[in-house]
Amino acid sequence: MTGDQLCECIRRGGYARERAIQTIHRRFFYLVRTVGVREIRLSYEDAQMAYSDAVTELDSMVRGNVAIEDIGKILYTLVYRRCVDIVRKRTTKTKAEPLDQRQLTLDLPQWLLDALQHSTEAMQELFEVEEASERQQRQQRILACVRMVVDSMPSKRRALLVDKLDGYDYEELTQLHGFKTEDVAREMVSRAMQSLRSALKEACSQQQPTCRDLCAWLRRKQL
Amino acid sequence: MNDPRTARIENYLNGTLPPEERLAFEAALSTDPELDAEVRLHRVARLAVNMESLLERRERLQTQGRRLLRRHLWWWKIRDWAEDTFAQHNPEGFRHLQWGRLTLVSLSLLLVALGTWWLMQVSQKSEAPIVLRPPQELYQMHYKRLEINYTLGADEEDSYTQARQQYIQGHCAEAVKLLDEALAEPTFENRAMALLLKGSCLLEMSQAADALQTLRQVPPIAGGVHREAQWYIALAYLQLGQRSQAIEQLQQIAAQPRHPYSAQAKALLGVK
Repeated sequence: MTGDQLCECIRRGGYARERAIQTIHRRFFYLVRTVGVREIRLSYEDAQMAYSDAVTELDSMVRGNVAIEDIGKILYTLVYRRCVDIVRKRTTKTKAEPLDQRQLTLDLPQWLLDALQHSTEAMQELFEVEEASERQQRQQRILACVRMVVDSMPSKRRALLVDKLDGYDYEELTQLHGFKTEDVAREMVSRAMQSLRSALKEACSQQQPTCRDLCAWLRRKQL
Repeated sequence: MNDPRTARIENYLNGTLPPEERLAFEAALSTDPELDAEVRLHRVARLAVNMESLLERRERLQTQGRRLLRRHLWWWKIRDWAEDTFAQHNPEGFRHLQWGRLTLVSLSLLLVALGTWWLMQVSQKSEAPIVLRPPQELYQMHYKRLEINYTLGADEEDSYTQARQQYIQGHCAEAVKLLDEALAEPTFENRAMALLLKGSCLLEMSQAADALQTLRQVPPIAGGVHREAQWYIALAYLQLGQRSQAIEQLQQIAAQPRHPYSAQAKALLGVK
């Protein structure tokens, strides 16, 4: 399969996307050694993690309709950047969160935050803060709240929502999750989404400290 | 199913509302704080699923990566070692082979291989009884008189038959005399067997040199008798203390899988 065909499959979603990502992951796996280990001098384990992150990022870029001319070149650049991130993380001392605030944040890498921000256009407004250092911490706090709410949901519902977002159509969801009909699948997706929104509302009504920033934005209060 | 308000919000966020409806919806958003809050909630819910999807994909790819890495690691480490040892990197990124090291390692490997082969040969030989024990002792251990039967109905006046009987009774000196008589007759038919018996007797009489000369006269066409003679030739060499000739002879016997003394020859040579 050519690069364009692989991108097309990723955009299509569902099984086609799954297969395309597996193909890309296997086809360019040599980058773990050539870039991560031989060029940047990381351990094989770290280089592998950087490579997997790069493939995740590529998937997110293709889904976000970023024009990709050459998958190999883009992936090389992404792997190189993720490897450099690992080196930087080791060599620089980052500003630590105060101890009492630590449980309120997630330690997500910046590329993942960026990918999220770009995949959900309206979220730029949610994360927008003038000071750059404050922005990252705010992102981490909001995502920690979101993660907490998602984690509180039953795993089957969570999986159903993720599969729907991953581009599986209702026919495929019916097979994947064992629903009787496509209408049942549609109804279950709708209910799962509703229960997620209710859980978010509930977290705000309980005034969870993790969710302070998110709930303030939802209520449109001046931060 | 979704209520109409939720469905409208979803369509708006999916960008599937017709342009006029979209404009109307955006106007409502700026005036209706409740609708605005609900749209925000939908957006955050989408963000939540998006994040979950990304994290799950990341986890899945890392698991797959670990599996692939296990499969490639040993080969990649060999390549790393080879590159680090034999290639020199310069600042422009070019690699040069270090021929000196390459030759040195190749020669070392060759030497190790040759050394291993030589050691195997030596250890194989050193375990062989023919190397470890004195040849005469081996001769004593392996010499056995030929097993022959009385020939029923044969002419008892015939010197060959008498020689056989003497041989069976263990009178080798008499047997040799009678066999010489028989062999002197130009029309004598059992020449090969008579030579074998004479050779065996001479061995028993500790006349290995004469035995060798006699046994070598057994023609290959005699088949089984010739094969017996081959074994006694090896024993004659052992009696004479000529180890290397004995080994050569035993190797010839061992090389014939159907030879009646093949197993014994192999045992003496220490070959499996």
